[in-house]
Formats: sequence, structure tokens, C-alpha cells
Amino acid sequence: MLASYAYLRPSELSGDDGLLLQTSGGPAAHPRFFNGFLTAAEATATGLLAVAEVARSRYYQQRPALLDPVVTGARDRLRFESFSGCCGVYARLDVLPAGMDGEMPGHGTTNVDVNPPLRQALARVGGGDPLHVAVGPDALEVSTMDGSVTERKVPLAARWLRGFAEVQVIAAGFEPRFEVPAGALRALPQSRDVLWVVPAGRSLRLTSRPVAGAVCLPGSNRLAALRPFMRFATTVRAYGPAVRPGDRPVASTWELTSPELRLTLTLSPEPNRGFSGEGAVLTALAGDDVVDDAELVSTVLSWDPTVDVPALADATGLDAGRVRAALTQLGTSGRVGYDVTEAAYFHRVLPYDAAAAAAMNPRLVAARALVAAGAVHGMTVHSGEARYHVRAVADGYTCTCPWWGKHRGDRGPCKHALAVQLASGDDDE
Amino acid sequence: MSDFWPRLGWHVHRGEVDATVRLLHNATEEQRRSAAADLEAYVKKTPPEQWWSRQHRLQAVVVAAVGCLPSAARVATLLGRTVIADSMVSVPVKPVVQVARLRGTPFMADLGHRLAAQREAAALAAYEVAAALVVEAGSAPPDTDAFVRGWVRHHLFAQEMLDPRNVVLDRMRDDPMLTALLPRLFEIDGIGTDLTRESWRKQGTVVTALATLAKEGRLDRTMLLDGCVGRLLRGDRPNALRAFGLLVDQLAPTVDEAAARTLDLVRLLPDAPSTVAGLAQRLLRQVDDAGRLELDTLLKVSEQVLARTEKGLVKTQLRWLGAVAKREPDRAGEIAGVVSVACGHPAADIQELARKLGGEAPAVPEPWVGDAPVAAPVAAMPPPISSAGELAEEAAALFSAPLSVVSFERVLAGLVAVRATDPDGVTELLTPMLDRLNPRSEFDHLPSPADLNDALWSAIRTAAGATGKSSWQRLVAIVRDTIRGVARHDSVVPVPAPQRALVLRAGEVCARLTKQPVPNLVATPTSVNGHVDAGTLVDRLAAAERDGWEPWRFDLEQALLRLPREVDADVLARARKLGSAAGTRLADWLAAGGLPDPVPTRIAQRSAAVWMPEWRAVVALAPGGPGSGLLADELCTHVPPKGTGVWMPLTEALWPAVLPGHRDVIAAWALPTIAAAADQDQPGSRELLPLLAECTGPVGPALTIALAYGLAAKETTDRVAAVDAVLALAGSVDPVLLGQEMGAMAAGGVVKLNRGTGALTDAARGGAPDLVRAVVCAALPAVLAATPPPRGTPDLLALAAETVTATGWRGSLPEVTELAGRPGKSRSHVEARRLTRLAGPE
Repeated sequence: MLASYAYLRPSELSGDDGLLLQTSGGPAAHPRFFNGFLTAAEATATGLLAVAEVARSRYYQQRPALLDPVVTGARDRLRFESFSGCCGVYARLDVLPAGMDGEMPGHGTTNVDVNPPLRQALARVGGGDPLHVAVGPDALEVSTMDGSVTERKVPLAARWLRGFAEVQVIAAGFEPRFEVPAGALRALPQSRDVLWVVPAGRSLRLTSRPVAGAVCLPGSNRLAALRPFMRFATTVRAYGPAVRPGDRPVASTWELTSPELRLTLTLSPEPNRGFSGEGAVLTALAGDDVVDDAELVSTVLSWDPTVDVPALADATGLDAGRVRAALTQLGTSGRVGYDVTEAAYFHRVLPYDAAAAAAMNPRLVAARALVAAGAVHGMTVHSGEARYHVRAVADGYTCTCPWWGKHRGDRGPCKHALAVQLASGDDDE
Repeated sequence: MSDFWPRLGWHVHRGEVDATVRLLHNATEEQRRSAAADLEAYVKKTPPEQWWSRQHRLQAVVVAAVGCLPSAARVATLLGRTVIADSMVSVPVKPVVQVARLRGTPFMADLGHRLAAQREAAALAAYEVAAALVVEAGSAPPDTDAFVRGWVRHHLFAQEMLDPRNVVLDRMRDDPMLTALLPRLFEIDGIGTDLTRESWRKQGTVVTALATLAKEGRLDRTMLLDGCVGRLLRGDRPNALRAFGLLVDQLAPTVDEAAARTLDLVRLLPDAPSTVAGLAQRLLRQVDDAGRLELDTLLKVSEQVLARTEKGLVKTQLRWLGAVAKREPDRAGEIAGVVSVACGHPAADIQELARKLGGEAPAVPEPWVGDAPVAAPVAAMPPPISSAGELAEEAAALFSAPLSVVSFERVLAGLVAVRATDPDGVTELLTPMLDRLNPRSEFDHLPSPADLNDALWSAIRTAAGATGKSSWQRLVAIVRDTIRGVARHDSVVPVPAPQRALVLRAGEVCARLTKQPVPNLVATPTSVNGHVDAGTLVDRLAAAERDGWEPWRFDLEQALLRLPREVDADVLARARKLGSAAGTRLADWLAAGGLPDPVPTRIAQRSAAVWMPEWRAVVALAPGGPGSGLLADELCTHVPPKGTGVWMPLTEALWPAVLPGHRDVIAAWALPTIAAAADQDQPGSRELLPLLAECTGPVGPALTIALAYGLAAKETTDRVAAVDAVLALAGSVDPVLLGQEMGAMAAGGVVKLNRGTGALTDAARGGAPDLVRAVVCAALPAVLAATPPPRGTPDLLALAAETVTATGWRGSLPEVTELAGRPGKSRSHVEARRLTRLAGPE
């Protein structure tokens, strides 16, 4: 699979016109989402650099990571998002209503070009004056520059897409855990290990084990992209699932906030674990009853800053629970993102075919193959010479396979459990 | 014509490179092409391992491929196969070029570019061949990341560099690719690390070569300066950025050049790595001294620099502002306002300097001490394994993560209990997975008698009815010999007693499960720290008595060792009613007050080996009373060797649960590992100290020394775990003893002082300022007495001052007062004076 980018010309920052970010794909070939001023120029430039930094980083393995950030123009804000090449770090910069002053001619999501000369120019932005910014070329430019586009094709791994989508679903289970002055983050040592963080006065303390109220910090070196933004932020907030002593590593979100901007990084549970394999959505994907609901809900999403579940329920006639399940499903196909600060989904359609990538989840494909090969015998799955025994427990299935033994539900069901689930679903029909 | 491949193949297979070249040279293009398909088939059908030891054959294949395959694309595909690509470094360039010439110039250029465009590792390995082809063809060099990296490394490490007359500078000056590739040096991420690397035989670095070439006029200064500043602004790993900072330094920009880049330099000050920020600071100072820097710009950026933590940067900036204040007296108030930022810096000398320059400390100092963590109650063990299915699942999961008390004990108990009720189910489910579970690969040597994974696997095999393998026989023999009191000599290093206790219990399952089955184990803990509730044990033994079975020997001994230190009177009364041998033993054990605490003796091991620390503090143990059982006697008798021992990987995380009421004993056994994490920079056993903190019993010398080493461990995670343990033990550890141990280690140079200071700072801020204050004050005498004082002494004094302030402690510290009274302006003196002032009478 290839991602192909076609920009009219490189994005650039000049003294006369300010920042012109070029766009590619989404609702149009070169959509335009914003034209106006950024009130916090230096901070926004630094935040944008942080998002670009994550897009071109790999924190675990040498794997190509040259996918451009995406930008979403919602009704009153811009959201820049990127995902690291190792599939373990997700970054988002929200330019809040206070941070921008201008018109939003269109809504949608598109790729945005952040090239090396632009990064250098962004690093130079300083001073207190507002910066003129256009996201996307104006219509005149599109019509006159027809035919002369800068094209680039880069490999687009399915796991990258799956991870980008999956992180939204995982973050939907997060709660705010603590808030301290932004400087506290600067004092944390750089480490590649999984540690836990608890607030201590106005600063933070690391601990080696999960305790109540702690947030997992898997590889503090992966927060490096936040560092330059710290001097603009007033507070750092951490989000994560509730943990108890003895828990295994979990994902977490770290957010720096200023009145105009919000920069968040979401880290996978361990540096060597990409979000792509977390399997948080496999059970939902294995059943297909929510797919229709998801299609229905997607038709009434309308680029509001956040998705309002009761309003959607009214509009679709589904109950709130089914709307939420539908949103989860939409999250896996890249059609909504999750904002932990607002504790709500937001409308965003990745400019790639993410739905196909989600359906091609290797574990799901393998499970379907097992069912098709007739390997499922009740609760026992035959796989070559080996026999795996699947057991139904309170919240799902367990298995005797080595994969399950290694992850114990941390990364969703194994292929044998999925196969049993699929096979039993077939029996029902 | 059809006989060409057999002839070519013969030479290729025999690895005759020269003969291959000759043959290709004398053949027609048509003949060469006729061998293409056969050559490709030959490469594909040869299994990878056959290439490894046959470099000549591989070289001949490369030469033949270049000569025969119809297009450069097909050559690149064949050479891109992992097995060939990995070995491209060893392929001689000359014969390849000789053969390539036969194919024409466009072919050579095309192939060179294609080899350079492969995946990173392959393109790097093929650099020499690709570069030779491109040069021979006279085409523009490829500009892929890998090719440029290869180009740089070629200048540093090529074979010719072994000639001492060959220096990087001369080679680069004559390099035809220099102008074309130079701009890429500023664009490729991470290439900076290679630019500062010293070549073979120390013939210079690329950075010095570039600076000299600029001086000679061969390269454009402005282009180099812009490239460096641009790269520094865009950022990279600190290690990679260093090169560009050095290059700017060596180019020594003029005031004009620096002034032209003022805006860029200003942007580097707040966030760039400290060396880069320091460079920007120096250049801006030049600009300012020439009167070409606006004061507003300076003040704004100063505020950001003064908020940084690096002492050097802050101090330089303060001195600069001091000079500016003298120059511009009417702006002095504004400048003093900016200087005040530095009053919040942790170092005393910086605060002092800031105050001298008119800075004022913030009115309300930030409270920095957090609440002490509240210890969570120790969790209960999860419910026992109840079915063969669950047992199979747990067994399958057992070796994919390090063993824990919970996983080990639950599976061990499950093997016994589930097999007693459902032997057929256990055999049916476990048998098919036995080979898959085997924790040892077939290449491993015989397992060591300390290998718990192997012992547990043997126990699982026993439960599945598969006995009689060498490991199993050995374990049964170990159990038998231990009971008979026969010493075994199958281990070079004696196995530590806690590890032996665990292996013996797994071994006991092997020895007894089929011959003398019991319905349950009695030693399975009731809480995750290893303790067995006394009432529960009475119940277990009562059930055994009722059903007419006796618990196994080591199982019962282990159960007794896991009893809490304090037991209610009514439990003792219930125990007295038991009539079985086991019941009587329990009642006697409880009445005697459990295992008497063994007597610890601190000793210093010495070592003359250079890779070992000079000395290491360890603790010997002697039983505190008459014999209490085989396991107890082994656990309470520890005579450490005189020299520091050999480190071996063990499952120390399980040890605290062997003797949960005597954590100091376990600490004594585990000291070699914990100490090695600090004095040999080994990976520590990070869970161990927090686990010991969760156990019970006095904190004696062994655990105190363990904490001292733990706080000075190399790995962040190990130190964080030690801080957790210190906070949890804040009420029971003797701070003076801990401080004395830390001070002696730091003064003796066996551990690094700054690690311990950092960890203690975290502990103080984490809610134990009183404890840390006492620890630091106890450590200071030894540290200050050392000549010279260890690196980081001022920071230890600063921490003392910080904790004295936080706790309001007053008292005398003679060694510190003495240092404060001596003349001197070093940071140690300044910190000592501040500390004396703070701790002195009000």
C-alpha cells in the first residue's frame, strides 16, 4: 500500500504572506480550512514542530516513518495529528478558538506538508505578533497552478493505519489523573523503561510499580517532543485508565495546555508495543451488528468540535449505548478521533482507506482462516499438530496458546478465541 | 552457447573470482545473457546457511550477476537478497567494475544508483561497489541517505586509511563527490554522529576537515555556517547535533557573521541541548559586545535561559547581565527583574550570584515536598487454580514472563490440587504442551541446580505423568541428598539458600507427586508478599489430619517459615488441639515464637581485579538459635566468600516470599546482585527492594546496605525502585546507618555519589524530607573527609540545605562548619556556608 501526496507546492513561511500550509487529499484535492491569524504565533509554531517531530520519529525500531501529519478543520478549531513510525506515539496539537482569528471556509481532514525548510522557518518564529496563516491554498491558486504538483509516494503500512485508529479507541477509556505545573515534566529523567508517575506536591515522582492514582509512563524518552513546548504551557495533565497494584503497563496521555493551544502525546503501553497490535477493537470487529449503526451515525456527524452523544441519539433514533458502540467502530476505521480533554469523540476522517486496514487485522484474518479450515471444534482449536483450549470467563475468553500466555488479555483476544467467537456466532444464525 | 552457464557456474560454485572475470571478458554479450536465468535459479536454490562460510562463492556470484543479467534492475534485485546484501561489504570492487565496463556506461550509472537506493543496511553495505560504479561512469553521485552515510564512513574507515600518510582532510579535498554531497550532510538525520567520529589511526574527523577546507577557500564558509545553524534549529539527537556546534566553533564566525544570524541564535538559547545553547550564548555575547544586540531581545531571551537547569549556562548569562547592567544604568531595574528568575535555581552559588546582581527571591517559595505515599495493604493471593483447563492456561503463560510469587505458587499448588481431583484432565491437557513449554532450548547445557524454570517444568512434566528425564532425575536426587544431608558438588558456585528452597519445593513435587500424592500443598501463601495466615495454616493441617494425610516435608517447613511474626493467642490454642506430627510441630513452632532472627555481621569483601570494585559491603549470617529445620538452617547460615563473587542470574523476585517475616535475611542473600547494580553497573533486580519493603521483620544491616547500593544503581529504574523502598521503610530504617554506608561507599569511590544524591532528592520530595535530612547529615562526614572529595559533593551539601530548610532542623555539623570556615570560593565552600547558616542557631 502506498500513500501518495500531491501538494501544489511546498508549504512555506515568508515575511509577506506568513505561513501557507499546503494540503493534499481529503474532501478535495487541495482543501482550504483556514485563513486568518494565529494569536500565539511562537507557541503554535513550536507545537506544530512537535507534531511534525513525532511524524518523523521512530522510538523503537528502524522503520520508515515519513508520513505527513494530518490537519482537521472543525467548526471552531484546527487539529494537527501525527503518528510515529513505530506506531507507539500519537501526537495532536489543538489550536483552540482563543488561538485563532480568521475564517474557516471548509471542514474536513487532509494531509499537510511540513518540509525541512519549513521546519527551520517555524523554529525561527518568535515575538508576540500574530502570524498570518492559511491552511490550504486559495481557490484561485488551485485553478492557476493546475498540473504542476509536487508528488511524493511513501509506503503506507497497514499497521500504521490500524494503530492510528486504535489509539482513539484506547484513549476513550482514559480519565484525567493529575495536573501539575508544566515545569514538573522537565525534571523527569530520560528512560526507556516502563515507569509510573504520581504527583508529589507541585512536582512529579516516579515509582517502579503501579499504585492507585498513578499514570503509566512507558519510556519517558518518548515525551521528548513535548520539551520545547513546555515554556508556553501553564500545566501538564496526565490521563490514563485506573490502575491497581500488580497491573501490567498501560497506555497514557500527556497534555500541555496554554489558553490558546493544547498539545497531547499518547504513549503505547510499552516502547516495543505499537498501538496497531493492541487489539482493543477485535471483539467488536468480530461481530458485525454495530457496522450498520456506525454507517447510520457517520451520516449525521458534522465537523462539530466534539461529538455530542445525546444529539446523535436523537438524530439517529438509536439509544446512547448503541451510539457509543457505533463511535468505537468508527474510531477503528479512522472516521472519528478521541479528545481526552473534552472526554468526547470528534469528527475526523483520515485521508486513507483505514476501514480496509482495520478489517485486514492479521489476527482477525487468521481467525477467519481457522474457522474456514474447520479447525474449531467446540472450545478446542486445532492448529497443525497443536491443540489449543479456549475457555469462556467473565469478560471474554482465555486460551492455552503461547500468545495468550504472553499477553494475558493486554492486547485483546488471541486468534483462537476470536475463531471460537466467530464460529459460535455462525452457529447462532 | 548453451554450454556457457555450466562453465560459468563451475567457476562461480568454486568461488574463483578471477576465472569468472576472465570467462565473462572473453564471452560475447549474447553468451553472458544466456546464463542469466540459470544464475538466478542457482542463487535462489542455495539455502542461506551455505553462503555464510563461502565468501568467495558469494563474490563470484556478484561478479557474474553484474556480467550476465540483462538489466541493472535485475542485478540490483538479485544483489538485494538479504543473504547477498549483508555480505556486500566483503565484495572486492575491482573485478566488479572490470565486468561492469563490459556492459557500458549507462548500465554502470544505473546499477550504482539502484544499489544506493536499496534499504538502508543493504545500501550501506554496497556503498563501495556503488560509488566505484558511479565514479567509473562519471555520473552524478546518488544522494540517498545511505549513500551519503557510506560516503562519510568511507572517508573514515576505508582500507586505504590504514596508511598513516592518508588523512581525512587530503582525501576530502580531492573527492570529486564533495560539492554534490556536502549539502546533504546538513539534511540527513543522525549523520552528525559520524561527522565527529575519529577515523582509523586518528587521522582527523570530517568536521575538522570541513573547517580546514573552508579556511583554504575550497568550501564556501557562508554555506557551511547556514547549513549548521539550520540543522541546529531543526534539531536532532543531542549526540548528532554536537558535530554542527563544533563546526561552527572551528569556523569561528566573525561578529558580522554572528550578527547576521542573531534571530537564529536567539531561538537556540531556550531549548537547544546545553552545548549548542552555550555556543549560541558565546556568539550572541560577541554581537552584544559590538553593540549590535537590542537590549529587549537580550532581556527576553535571558528570562528563558535563566529558567534552564544547567548551571554553566545560567551562570554565564548572569555575568553577562551584570555587565549589561553596568553599561546601561537606567535599565538596571528591568535587568534586576530578569535576574530574579535565577533566584529560584537549586544551586546556592547561583542564587547568591543572582542576589548580588540585584535579583530578589520570589516572595513565596514553591512548596516542593509532596505527601508521603500511603502504603497500600498487601494484596491477597488470587483464588487457587480450580480446573485442568485453567492449570493448562497458567502453565502455558508461565515462562513467557519472568516468574513471580503469584505465578510460581499458583501453578505449583495447582499441579498438586487439580491432579488430585482430575488426573486424567491434567494429563490430557498438559501432555501436548510439554515440549512447547520447555524453557531450555536443545542447545543449552545441563541446567544449573539453581535453574527454577527447569525445575518447574520438570514438576509440570511429573503432573502430566511424564517422568524420567535427566532434569527430573537430578531434581529427585537433589531432594533425596538434601534430606540425607549429603552435599552435592554439581555447581561451581554455591546456590543461594532462598533459591535452593524454591528449587527443592519444585523438586519435591517431582519426587512425591506420583508416589505419595497429597490433596493440597500447605505452604501456598495467603498474601502476595509470601505470608501464610496462621489461622489458615491451622485449618489446612486440621483438614490433613481429618482426611488422614501428612504434608510433604519441605512444604511444611516452608509453611512454617511463612507464618507472621506475631500470632494471636487463640490461633495458638487451636494449633495445640491438633494431634498429627505436623500439627504438633506447628504448635511448638508458634509457642517458640517462630524462627529466631539470625545474627548478622557486616563484612567487606575485597577484590584486586580491575573489573571489580575495590571492596563491597556484604553481610554474613549465623543461626540465632538451635536447628529449626533443613530449609531454616540453610537460610540462616551464610558465609560470603572473601572476594566479590561471580554474578549469576537467579529469580530473586521470588526470594522475599521464602522468608517474608525476616526480610533482612533475604537482603543478605541478595546483596551481591543489588550491589552489582551500583558498583558494576549491572542490570539490577528492580522488583526486589520494593518487595522486601512489603515484607515484615526488622530492617537490619543487610537491608540497609542493600538500600544504600540500590540508591546508587546505574539504571534509572533500579534507583526509582530503591526510592520506593526507602519511602515505604521510612519508619523502620535507621537513617544514620544508611547515611554512613552511603558516605563510605561514595568516599571509597566504589559507587557514584551523584546517583545517590539524585535518588535521595527524589525521596525527600516524595515525602520523606526528615529521613533524607538525617541520611545526608550522616553521610557528609565521610564524604568531606575523602581527598579529594568525590564528584558531586556540592550537590550533596545542597540537598542537605534543601532538607534542612524543609524540615526546620537545627543542629551542629562539625565537618561542614569546618569546611565553611576554610577560605575558598568553590561551590563546595559556598554550599557549606549556606548549610552552616541554615542549620545554625536562630
